[in-house]
Amino acid sequence: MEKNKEKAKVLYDMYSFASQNTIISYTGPFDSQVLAVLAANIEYSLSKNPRIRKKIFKIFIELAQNISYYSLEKLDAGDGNEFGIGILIIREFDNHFTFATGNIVDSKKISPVIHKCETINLLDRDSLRQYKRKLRNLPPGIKGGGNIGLVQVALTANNPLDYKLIPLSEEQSFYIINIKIDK
Amino acid sequence: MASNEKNPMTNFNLYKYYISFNHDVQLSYKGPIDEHILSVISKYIEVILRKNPIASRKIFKIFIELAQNISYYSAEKNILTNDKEIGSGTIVLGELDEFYTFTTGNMVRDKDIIPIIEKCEYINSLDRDALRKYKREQRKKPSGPKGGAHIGLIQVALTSANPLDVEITSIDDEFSFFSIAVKVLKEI
Amino acid sequence: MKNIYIKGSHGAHFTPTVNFNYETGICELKGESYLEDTIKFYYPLMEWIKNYIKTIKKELVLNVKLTYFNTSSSKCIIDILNILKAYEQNEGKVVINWYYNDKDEEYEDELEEIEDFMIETGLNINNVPYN
Repeated sequence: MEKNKEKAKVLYDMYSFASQNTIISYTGPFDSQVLAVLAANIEYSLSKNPRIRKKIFKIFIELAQNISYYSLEKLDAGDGNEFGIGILIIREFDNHFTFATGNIVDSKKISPVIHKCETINLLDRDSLRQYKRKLRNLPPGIKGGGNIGLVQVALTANNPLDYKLIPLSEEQSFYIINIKIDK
Repeated sequence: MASNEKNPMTNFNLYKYYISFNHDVQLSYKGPIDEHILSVISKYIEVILRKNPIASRKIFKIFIELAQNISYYSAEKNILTNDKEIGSGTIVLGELDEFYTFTTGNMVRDKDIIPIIEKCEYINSLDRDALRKYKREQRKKPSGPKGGAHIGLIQVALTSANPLDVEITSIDDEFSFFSIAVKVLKEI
Repeated sequence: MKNIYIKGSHGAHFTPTVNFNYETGICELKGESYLEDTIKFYYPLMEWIKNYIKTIKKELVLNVKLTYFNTSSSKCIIDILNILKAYEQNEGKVVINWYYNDKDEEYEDELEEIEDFMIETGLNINNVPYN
């Protein structure tokens, strides 16, 4: 019973965190249906600020889908489909907004992504554009690929990518990417 | 420009938020509550809780009532392009050892708090039969301005068969955060 | 040869409006582009342009008025532009007009984007403001 009480307290804390400064947050499975609903909700939650709305929307499109593709944690829909589980949170502060996603990843497969984040953060805007052009001209083939997403996110936000990899076990890590968008 | 430590607190919180309670939180949402998000969340409740169909149905019923309260009564509003307003709020489905918890929260005007608390306290003071009688009485009353039938919270208490766990946190002079948590036992 | 007309839609994904006319040589791409399978959508458009170049051999005008496109769409747009560049290099006549909203606070980002497309393909793209 004590344990339950503790857990209930923790649930409550977490829930208040979710509510502070938060415009939209979502934890759960990410499939195309929920992505569509979240996209629509971003559009009207930020309708007072079209500039921010457009930027956040662009970032959302590039990052949110990755959760459904790459999260190791899945919800078995029972009909043969699986949806990747993760978290997305959009918050507003005095001078900026933040857009963050988090999900469990395969530690080995994530290293190219981390490497890419590191490279992106070293580049200034002109070099980033050059990098984007280079990636875009790689031969076509990979479905929806191109791997330009993160570069575009950095260009759109005009801020470095704030990322973190928290090891959970030898194979698994929790990957967080947090993007700051100035007002 | 190179720095990944710009917002260490945000990162830390997000991690804490997710991982520590990973097994306890099944679903959470904060944002505008409209018919589209309702339909997506209902579907997920059904999928996530499909091994426990009785609890699933109960939580679905509770979810619909509480979510409707948010969309009608939340003091935090989103204005849609057609000038319609939609209330914004928080929804969390948690799983503990013996029961599920379903929590919702939203901003309320301070002047609206007392009637809500009184209503919840009254509901908690009644046993099941008295609650059913109260529901029948309330249902006879004319509908509220937004079509609400005054019975949402009574129905929630009846469905969960547990008291309503209500908490109010003051935000400023004008607004408070109202949250309500209910339990649904796994075994009936 | 047949004309292509696709009516744009805005749902779980966004389909742009496509209007490719072989009689006038005017090809329009407008609206928003964020597709479930980007290549599947753009491949027939590329094939159509290749076919036009091979059989009609006249001037081709591409009018782009996209208010939003994701990065995987931008990759397909590059592929289309590269086909047009090759046509131009073989004495084909190509005009590309890119419409952008100069009332949009972030229109400079869009101009930057157009510039990137020009640098990448070596094509001239006319920036046409509208609002």
